[in-house]
Amino acid sequence: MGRGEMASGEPVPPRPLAQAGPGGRGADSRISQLVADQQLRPEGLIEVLHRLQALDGYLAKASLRQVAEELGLPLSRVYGVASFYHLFRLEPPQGHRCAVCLGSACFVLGASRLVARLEQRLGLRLEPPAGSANGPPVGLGLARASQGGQPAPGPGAPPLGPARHPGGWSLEPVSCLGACGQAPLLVLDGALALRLPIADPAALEARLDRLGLPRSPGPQAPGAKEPGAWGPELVLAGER
Amino acid sequence: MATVGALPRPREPAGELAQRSPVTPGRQLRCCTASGCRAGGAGPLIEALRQAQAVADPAANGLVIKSVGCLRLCSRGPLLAWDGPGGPALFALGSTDPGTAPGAAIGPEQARALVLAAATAPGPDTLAALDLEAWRPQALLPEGSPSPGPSPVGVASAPPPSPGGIGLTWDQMDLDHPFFALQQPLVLLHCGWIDPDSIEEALALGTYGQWRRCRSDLSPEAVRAMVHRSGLRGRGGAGYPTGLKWDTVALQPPGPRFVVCNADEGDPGAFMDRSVLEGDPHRLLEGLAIAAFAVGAESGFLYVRAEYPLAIERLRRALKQAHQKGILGPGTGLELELRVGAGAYVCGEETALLQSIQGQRGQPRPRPPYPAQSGLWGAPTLINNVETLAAVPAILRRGAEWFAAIGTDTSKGTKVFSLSGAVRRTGLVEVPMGTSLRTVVETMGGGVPAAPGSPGGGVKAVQTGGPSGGCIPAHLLDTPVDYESLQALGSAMGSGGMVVVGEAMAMPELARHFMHFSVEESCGKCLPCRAGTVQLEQLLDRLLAGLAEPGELDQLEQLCRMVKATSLCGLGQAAPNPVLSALRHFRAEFLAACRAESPRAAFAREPFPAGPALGPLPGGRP
Repeated sequence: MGRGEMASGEPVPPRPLAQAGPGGRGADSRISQLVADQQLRPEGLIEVLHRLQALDGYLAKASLRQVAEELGLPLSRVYGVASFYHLFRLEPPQGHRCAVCLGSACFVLGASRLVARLEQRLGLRLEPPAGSANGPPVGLGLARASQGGQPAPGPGAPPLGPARHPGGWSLEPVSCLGACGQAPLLVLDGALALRLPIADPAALEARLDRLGLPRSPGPQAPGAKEPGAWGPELVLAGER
Repeated sequence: MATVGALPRPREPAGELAQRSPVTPGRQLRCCTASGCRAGGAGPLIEALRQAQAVADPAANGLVIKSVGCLRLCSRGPLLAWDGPGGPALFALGSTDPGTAPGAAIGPEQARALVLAAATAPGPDTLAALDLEAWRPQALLPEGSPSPGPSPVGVASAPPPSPGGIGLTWDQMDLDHPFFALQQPLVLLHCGWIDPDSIEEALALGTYGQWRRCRSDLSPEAVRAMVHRSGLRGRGGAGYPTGLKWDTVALQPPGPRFVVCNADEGDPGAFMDRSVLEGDPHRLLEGLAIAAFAVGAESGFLYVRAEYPLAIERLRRALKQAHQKGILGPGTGLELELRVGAGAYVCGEETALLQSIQGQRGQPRPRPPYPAQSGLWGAPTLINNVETLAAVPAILRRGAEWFAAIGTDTSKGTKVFSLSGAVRRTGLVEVPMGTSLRTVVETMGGGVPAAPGSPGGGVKAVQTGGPSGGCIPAHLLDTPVDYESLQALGSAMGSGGMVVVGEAMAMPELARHFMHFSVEESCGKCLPCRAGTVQLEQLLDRLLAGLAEPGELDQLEQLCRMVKATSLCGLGQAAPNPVLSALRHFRAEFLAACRAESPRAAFAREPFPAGPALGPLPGGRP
């Protein structure tokens, strides 16, 4: 298979997968370097993908193809791994990420009610993690939850489907971060928001306002961020 | 006995303690910078303290400010432990605004006051009396308070601190409280004491001493025999005898073999392993090195989940330091490598983990052959959990009999639990096996605070073992925590996550939560797990929507047993456990959630039922 030598004089028919990475170049020397760092060993694939995602924010198809070629693996194997693991994203990330922790500690403290509020504010359904290998995107359906006697949102519930927030927000679950002592919590663009007052709807709204989360679905610049959130340390491996 | 720590005092013979020289003599502030406290702003806090020290009076120069691992009481983080005359003492920084990370809200003057007090206080009481509010940024200094001195940290010149309006609280924690006093640190002995980024501190406390002893004085057989006699069992959940596992690997035909540390701690609500990785990484490396020695492996891997960036960073550094010191790496007979997961819970299953280390999709395979016979690249491979390996150096150091004297007949030693959920005091506890759940949850954790407006309060159940465990109702809280007792109740020890459930939580809801987790995390390889968990979740959805009939509970139970019996790996086999245990202990709640009568009966009574009384067919999403 060709190694994406798009620079040659021959008119090369555009092959979507052989197109260059996000930068629009030919074979990406950064990727070659990442592969070389793993001594070209196929077992270094996951590490290569981690580093690639750290550079680009996601794993572009063309990049995966180049990784496959340089590691001497079938593309199916590389794509299979990239799509298997939750932390690998195959689509460019949205501008703003709102990740809700749904670990048991957060859940026991009412995270499903928090999700219902976020779904309403953003007009998005909670998406399963990128690369989720399983079946239909069932969503969490948590808006229907009736925990603690809270009524289901009913008609106010956001539309189904992969809606895009005009303000560039995405809403996704994050697996337990081990900060259970400060549950329930959110990760907004990599910063933690702690001890959300779920039991007090007014206080919760005020907190979400302060965190810069839009109040209603619509294009809206995020407001001032709450000070003091624990910042870049929490950015997960593979994120920017 | 001399108090050894702001923490759980290790109950060791005085002789042992006396031999151990303090890592840093004199006064010090140990700041917890593990993930829990970091979430409370421990990073900016320690930074502020160090800056304050740099510009403070020379009196503060004698104070050592260092970053340490978990100080246990995560709910009050960020925590600071103070060593000095009359110490140690433990303090919690809090903020009057629950949404603000206290550590990030501290002003430079406040940091300076704290550093000065820590450097000069004649005893913990003086430090406890520190009034941080007097030094609040942009606040007028009260009359008679100490002058900021000739070189103030610059309240005026600094950019207006945005958190200026946030009040801080400063409280001393009572180290005689059962939360601390009942702990028996063995795995966490040095966690909270040493700077995890300093191999010198670890070495000063004897870390790697047993690894050296292995290579100079002991035979692999002798090491395995010791672990055998200690009665140590796997802390990852299954409780397999560690000595037996080591023997199996060691006795395979000659050839290369591997050791693997499973640090893919994926159970929601579990953070024990993270605390070891973040608080005392060298102990883990020593344990893994000893395991490699005992089974004859020359290379090994540590597989850490990607959600623990700080643990990865500290482990990487620890590994590098051990290489630089010539303790591990070339010439020592052992090469260790770190591998980072990518967010797949199933990779905690040993065969899936091996796949992932080899750069594949993390899908399990049938056993046998067990990894002990055929693991990484077909070679015999020993896989142990973090906590198991971290216990090994203590067993070698103190003797198998000492370890075996702790705990119960079948479960030896101590176990670390992460206490979270609706409980008053959340954090990390290490107690002897056989301690009752009531002791851990009520005496140490303080039970569940009564919710405002709700008459009840109190513990409803304790969830142990995460998505593969179950819940134990409040009336069985006197159950001792050991492998067999929890299993007998339909739960499991699991890795040690203990999520306390308050009265407000409906158990069918919780069962659905765990089932949803399993749906998301099923790798899709075997049908019972891939499809069965989806069906189970849909049955629970119907139930929660009020559409299920009482008869469907039997269907639910049957399907649970089917998934349990026929799934390929531990994930599927254990996925129904939360549902089964909830059905067993809280069946009334499930019955109450069912519709009162069947659609057929309703139809007979009223020929034209209005609206959507007929739900979708079983199996369809409501």
